Amino acid sequence: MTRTRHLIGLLLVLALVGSACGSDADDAGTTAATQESTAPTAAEPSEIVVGCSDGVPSWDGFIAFENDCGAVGIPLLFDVVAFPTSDLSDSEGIAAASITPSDDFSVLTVSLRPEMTFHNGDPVTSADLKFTLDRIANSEAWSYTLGGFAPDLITQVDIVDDLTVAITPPSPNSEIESLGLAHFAVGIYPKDFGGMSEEDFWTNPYGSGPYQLVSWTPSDEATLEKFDGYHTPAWQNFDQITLKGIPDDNARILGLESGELDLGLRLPTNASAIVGSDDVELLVGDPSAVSELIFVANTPPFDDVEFRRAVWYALNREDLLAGAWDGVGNLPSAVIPSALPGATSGSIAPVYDLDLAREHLAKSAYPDGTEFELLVVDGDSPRQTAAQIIQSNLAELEINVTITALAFAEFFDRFTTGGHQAVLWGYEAVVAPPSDIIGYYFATAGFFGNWDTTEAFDHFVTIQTTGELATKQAAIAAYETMMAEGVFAIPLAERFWVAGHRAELSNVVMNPTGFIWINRATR
Amino acid sequence: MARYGFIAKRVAGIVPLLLGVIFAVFALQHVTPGDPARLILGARASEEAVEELRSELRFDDPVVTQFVRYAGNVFQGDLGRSLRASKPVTSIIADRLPVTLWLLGAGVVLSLLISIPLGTLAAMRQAGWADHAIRGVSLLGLTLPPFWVGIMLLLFLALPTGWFPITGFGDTFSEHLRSITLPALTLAISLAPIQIRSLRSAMIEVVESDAVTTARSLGIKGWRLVSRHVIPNAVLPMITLLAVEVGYMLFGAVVVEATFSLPGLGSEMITAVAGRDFAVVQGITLVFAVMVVAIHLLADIALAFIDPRVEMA
Repeated sequence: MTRTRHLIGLLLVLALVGSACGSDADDAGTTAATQESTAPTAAEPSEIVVGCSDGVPSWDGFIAFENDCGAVGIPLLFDVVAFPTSDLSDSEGIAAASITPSDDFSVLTVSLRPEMTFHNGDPVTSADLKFTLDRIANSEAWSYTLGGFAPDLITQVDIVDDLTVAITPPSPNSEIESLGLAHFAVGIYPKDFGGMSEEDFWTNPYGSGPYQLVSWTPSDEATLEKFDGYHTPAWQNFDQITLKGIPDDNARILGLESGELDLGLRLPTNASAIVGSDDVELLVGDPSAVSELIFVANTPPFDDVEFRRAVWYALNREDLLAGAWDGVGNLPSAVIPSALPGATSGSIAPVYDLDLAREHLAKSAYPDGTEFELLVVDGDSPRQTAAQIIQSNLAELEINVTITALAFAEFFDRFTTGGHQAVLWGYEAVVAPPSDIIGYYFATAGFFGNWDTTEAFDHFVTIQTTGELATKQAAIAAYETMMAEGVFAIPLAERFWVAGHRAELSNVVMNPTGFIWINRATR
Repeated sequence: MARYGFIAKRVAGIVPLLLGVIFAVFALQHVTPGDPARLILGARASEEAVEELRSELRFDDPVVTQFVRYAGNVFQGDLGRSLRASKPVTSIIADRLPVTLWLLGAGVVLSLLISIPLGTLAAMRQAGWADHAIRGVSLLGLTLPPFWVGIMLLLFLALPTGWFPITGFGDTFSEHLRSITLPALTLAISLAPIQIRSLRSAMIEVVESDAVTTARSLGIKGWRLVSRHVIPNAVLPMITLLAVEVGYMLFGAVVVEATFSLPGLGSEMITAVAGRDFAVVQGITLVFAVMVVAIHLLADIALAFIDPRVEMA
């Protein structure tokens, strides 16, 4: 009798739990069945749900700069002036009807599309564009977003007529279009924030983009719906777009497999080994990031070029790629990732040659070896593993490497203030090189103050002031040769972005910086 | 009356504790290596921009001045502004706290639904196969990291059945219930083993006590004995245990919210840390600390009412 009562009690508990799940399960089952049995028709509102590693924290491009939901969401809410084509070799006008540089690249004239309106119905004029560009040019914050030298990029913005502005850079600059305008963060917002305070505007933002904001929980979820007054309906393939922040990589993959997500951004590079459903297709981008061993070239022992060359030849990068990055990536040929415009052919790639390394070490001031400290970010496990492999490689030359793993904050502080000998870090393209690499160079006074040579500066000026791609590439090649001969940094591994989408989506194209125009996809 | 005196003493004791908590939270920013302004703006920002932000956030003021200002603001309910979201930290916390409370509440309920029957069964069948099995399973449960349990539940329960969403919290009560079930179960699986072991030990002690022996001699047995004389006495340590577990649960909530993409304080904390949003990190840390303190206080008060011996302490 007592046992029967125990059993009844236990069954009651289980029934309570089961009833909560069961009724929901029925609902879910019904919903899933409905979704499967009814393919979307033209009459039905179409929705797409995008899973990012982080929800939109803000619609201000500066704040959302490194955020994947922000990068794809801002150009939906705000019409950007122009945007790089998917191969980054050119840019196409979005809000701009035309972008015309003067022959000597001293003035850039931008004309907006006629009859554009903001979501509240107000017309978009050159005054709004000037307000947007002036904010960029005058803001140190935006300077960071645009590679660190926006104030040096735009000296003046003049209104030519209601739809046209003339942009004057401080010196002739053929890169201004791709660097300053063809960027996701340069969405046009209304002059004086439409009469609102800046804070209020960013809380309830509106633009002239293809979608308007319906609801938004910062860093979590944002829902946008089609803006009926948009100038190019062909760029509005969905009625509603939801951007969800899903920090866990596995959850984004499972969300794709379950059909909860239509598109998942920034999946792990080994996603192909994890995804277990034929309903999910992966997009594997071209390399757009390079991990590097970066030195302070004016501090012993790295002030000795022969010592740097010895290190260059002593590193087994195949072991590094296999050991630290699970073989997922490429051996880089230069500091500019190989898939990006302006990258060179790879002839300067470091080669593992221990004999050559010993020859160079013998010619250096440290023929019997020496020691140095290598900084890495604690918790950055690939680079921490890479540091151990480097330590092992250099031990062959009696070079003792002390690995110091620091919390990101301290690492960053020592890195940016020059309080280090060598670090493991990297270059990650944000906008199309060579613009980005130039911005990075100048913003960091030559990659964190280490490479600042007159020769390098001359190469960058050549890249910046010529419109000829061949001339730019020649300058980049010369620069990278100088880099290789001087060994100012050693590229170790080249990385890329991976995204995934449900198989029923088509026209999903990812550019090398990981950007996807969601609204261009179709179901 | 002595009982109320005891409670008053406990409440009064919280004031210096809270001041200590506020100081510790304030100190977080100052003991973190590196320049906070530089960390916020990133490597590409110019020195001028860093200097401007440092001045704007008044990082150059003496530390004591900064602390007095911070504590004053906290007592007025002002936890600062989020640099990323451009809104008050209190507003972010207000948006996200309910999700975390759902998770903690559901986690505790589920853990008790697991631990009370299993702990009771283990104690009643001491040294039997059920006791060994329950202790073995609970030991296994202790070793499983919550994020792994969460992923396994998603992979083997949510994905094949479609009963539970993979991510998010939903909009309606029913959706909340569905969304919270697996995260709460994840949390419960990590909490229940300690509760089972604690309850089992307490029950065995109670079963062997004079009170239960007397009850038995009066002819009370079976479920009546357990429900009226064993569980009420054995459950007292569980109240203290639950209070102690709160800190662990909050840590677990951070992991579980990230795994299930629940928009609670834990996931916001991770985002804020990654985005170097110090005010949000400080605000959430403060809320977590206050929750721990408050739950310990509530546990003390509950015990004072339930167990008269507490007044003697």
